[in-house]
Amino acid sequence: MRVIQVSLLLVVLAGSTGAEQPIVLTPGTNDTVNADWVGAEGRTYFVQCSMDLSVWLHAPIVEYSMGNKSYGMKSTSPRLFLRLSYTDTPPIAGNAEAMDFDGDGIPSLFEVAIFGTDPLRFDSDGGTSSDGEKYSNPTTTSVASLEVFTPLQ
Amino acid sequence: MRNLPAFTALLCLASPVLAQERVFTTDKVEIPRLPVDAVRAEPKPKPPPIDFKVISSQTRRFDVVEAPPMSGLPPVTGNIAITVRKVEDPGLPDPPPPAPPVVIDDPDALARFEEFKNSYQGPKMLAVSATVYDHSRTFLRIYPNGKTEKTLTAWTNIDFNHFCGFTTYRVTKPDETYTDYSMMMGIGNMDTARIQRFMAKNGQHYEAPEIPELPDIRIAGPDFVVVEGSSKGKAMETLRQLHELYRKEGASLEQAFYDREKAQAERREYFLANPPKPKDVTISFWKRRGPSQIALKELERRQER
Repeated sequence: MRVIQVSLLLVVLAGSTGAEQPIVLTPGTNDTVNADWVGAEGRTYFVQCSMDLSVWLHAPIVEYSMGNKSYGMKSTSPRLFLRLSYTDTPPIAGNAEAMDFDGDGIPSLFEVAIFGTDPLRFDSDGGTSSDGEKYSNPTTTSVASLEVFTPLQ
Repeated sequence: MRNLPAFTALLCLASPVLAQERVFTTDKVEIPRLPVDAVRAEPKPKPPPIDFKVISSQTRRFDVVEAPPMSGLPPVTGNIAITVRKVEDPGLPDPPPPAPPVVIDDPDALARFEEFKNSYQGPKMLAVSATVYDHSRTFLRIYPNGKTEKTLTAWTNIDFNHFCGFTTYRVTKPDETYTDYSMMMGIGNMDTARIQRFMAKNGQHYEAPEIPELPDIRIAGPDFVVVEGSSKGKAMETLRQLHELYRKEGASLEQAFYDREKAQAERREYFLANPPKPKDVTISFWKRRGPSQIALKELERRQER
């Protein structure tokens, strides 16, 4: 049955160029799925997941530059889609996790792992203020729907 | 009860067709069954739960609309929590590599395989369109090899809804060679009384199609009347095969149809009484030491393209 679920996973490479290698999904043990891709030089990758191809959430993943990128994944949903997004903006000192690519005041790892905002958009919800402004001033935002259980270690 | 054979004989005399059902082909037509000695795989055991150590976690709530569990039911709606977590690598072992191809060296198995190769003529596709009127007569369009230029149309006294429970039938020639036909059927149902009422209500008149005289299937068995098309082509062969199949397996096909209808109705009742709710979702991600052998092979394969 798990084989069918794995086959339902669809991979889309957002903004892909011709030479880009898409993410590879293979079955892991214990009903898990492994996601692998080969990074390109100077490129920072983010992983997004969706159950309906409409709402996309960021996985807590920031990966920079070349080499094999390998992640394991387990979902309680029988259906899950994954895609990569990326930027070619070089991170300062090669630290993509601490880099604020969209200039909204939040480091990219905090955006994807804690706030659930888009690390490549200044204003993820299309409002008027930056993501950083929203999360630094709770009176201007609707963060009630966001629960942060564990601070990033 | 002692009088029953005499009664049957009398009935046969009065209605000769009862004793002489029409045979449509000398080929053997049947729904293939699994071999009785087929080995069924054991169901995969449920894996033990993984004890994840959570590094970070974020939860958001969403209103979701999901497809109903069966057609005709309202969509499944609700508000769910989606939690996306980063967890420590649970250190799961890589899945084993795919098993090597099986080498068949058992002489018995080889002989059976050879026999199979000689007899099996391969699968063929059939495209059939069926419009069933009042569950008693069906207008058929048969497209041999999916092509429309050699279409054959016919009326039959079979309710083709009974053909919905299977996809493949097998035709075995007298020389023991056989072919599997995979039938793709588009089916529609017409309730003429209902259409008439609806049209009358809207001030219109419904002209029901003229259906040629066909015998009662319960007395004379399945039968058909060709409306258009060659009486010698592939489509005609298909028409005969389908009628032969129904002649032999119609009773079980009909019973299976009613069983399916009953099961569907019970399922519908259950879901109406217990509407499903979408469930919360948790997605965990962890960084692995490196790709598994299977993934590595796939990555290499894609890079070679």
